[in-house]
Amino acid sequence: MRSVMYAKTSNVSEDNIVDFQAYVKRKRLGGSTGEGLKSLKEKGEATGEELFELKQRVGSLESTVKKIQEKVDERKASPENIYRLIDDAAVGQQSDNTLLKARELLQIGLQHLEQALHEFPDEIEREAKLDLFFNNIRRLTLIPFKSRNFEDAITALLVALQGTVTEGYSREKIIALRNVTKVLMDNIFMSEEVLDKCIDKLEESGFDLSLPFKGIDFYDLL
Amino acid sequence: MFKFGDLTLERVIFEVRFHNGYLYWDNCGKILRTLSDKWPDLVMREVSPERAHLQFGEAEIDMSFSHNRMGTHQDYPKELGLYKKFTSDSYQIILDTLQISTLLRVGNRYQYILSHDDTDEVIEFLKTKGFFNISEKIRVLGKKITQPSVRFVIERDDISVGVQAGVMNRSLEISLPKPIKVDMSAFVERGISIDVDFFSTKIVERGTFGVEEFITTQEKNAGKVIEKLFV
Repeated sequence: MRSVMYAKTSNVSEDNIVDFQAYVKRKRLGGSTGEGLKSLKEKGEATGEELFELKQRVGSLESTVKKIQEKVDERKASPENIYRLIDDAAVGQQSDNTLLKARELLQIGLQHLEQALHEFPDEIEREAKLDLFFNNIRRLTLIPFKSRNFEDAITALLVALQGTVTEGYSREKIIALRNVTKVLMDNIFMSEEVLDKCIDKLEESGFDLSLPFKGIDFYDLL
Repeated sequence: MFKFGDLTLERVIFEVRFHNGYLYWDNCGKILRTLSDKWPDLVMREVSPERAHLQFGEAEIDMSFSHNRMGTHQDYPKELGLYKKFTSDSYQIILDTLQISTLLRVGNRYQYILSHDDTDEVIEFLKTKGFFNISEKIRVLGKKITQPSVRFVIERDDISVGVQAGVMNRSLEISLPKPIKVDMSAFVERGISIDVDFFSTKIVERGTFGVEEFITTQEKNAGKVIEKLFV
């Protein structure tokens, strides 16, 4: 059986199914639903009617997932509230809590990555945003953490970034960085399993994490 | 009448609650072994299918855990450094072994006392803070209020604060055979008790929850709550 997702429309025969792979691939590379479907149409892999129904279904699924995520998030305490000090004078000031500082840096880094993806065709802008992201990850190393696995994940990110300095970033690599950064934000006290997943995500997108074994001076990263 | 620094921290308590901690019954020994390797001064007090109860070293930090909770407390801590470290390590080892990823409730409580022999003065002081201004109403019911206490919860985003304060009037009687003597000089019989309890009102993800950071934050907050309400 092929490991390809299919979308079957209600008014087409059993044989007339739409290859969903191109759509999924496009989505993985960060494109919008519209872009993914457009790519299917351009390749002649789906008719306009099929695409319309597919778009509706995907749109409905995306909205359901978003609603579920919102409900789950509503029931969770936010770290910003857990570590908030009762002090009127401190409102609007930067927190001295290491965990919140780390989250702030990661959040800013995430914005740089989103901008890099948005301006992907403009190489200078894209690489400039990645430099800013790299800077933020470097700043994280200055925060004294008590989570060994988190420190390892940051080191993995630094190695990944250092190894890409002379190459330029592919869309796939930026998306991997974005996904790992999101995971880090919610897992500052991370388990071995989460750390392994982060490393796998980076390696799957083409980052070389074996740099320290190839004569790169590791201390240059810090 | 008093500064925050005059108060004595009688007890600090930390507790997390969770569900699905059924690996307690399979891994209790493993947890005790791992904890003892890290903290050799740990003494086993009582272990049963309901809960495990241990005590740590000269600091006498009390720790217990079961399939749905883990908690620690320390009486009369001089400083909280060791308490935070021990609590953080215990939390990490227990929740890792029980494979808990979500916390239903986290809480951190501070029980302060202040010695003051004149109970009437304490009552007058509490009245000046606006908690017991019902004197006019009780005149028809009786002569005066003698054991005032108040309890309320301040709702905040995700972490609420329970405050309990009142006049403390207690006694301790111990009879021991000669020649054993007990030093009771540090025991406060009369004064004010102030209890500040911080607890989560939503579930907390383990990935963003650091025990030492949480206790440090709430320790500061306890001081701020007391200063705003009582000082």
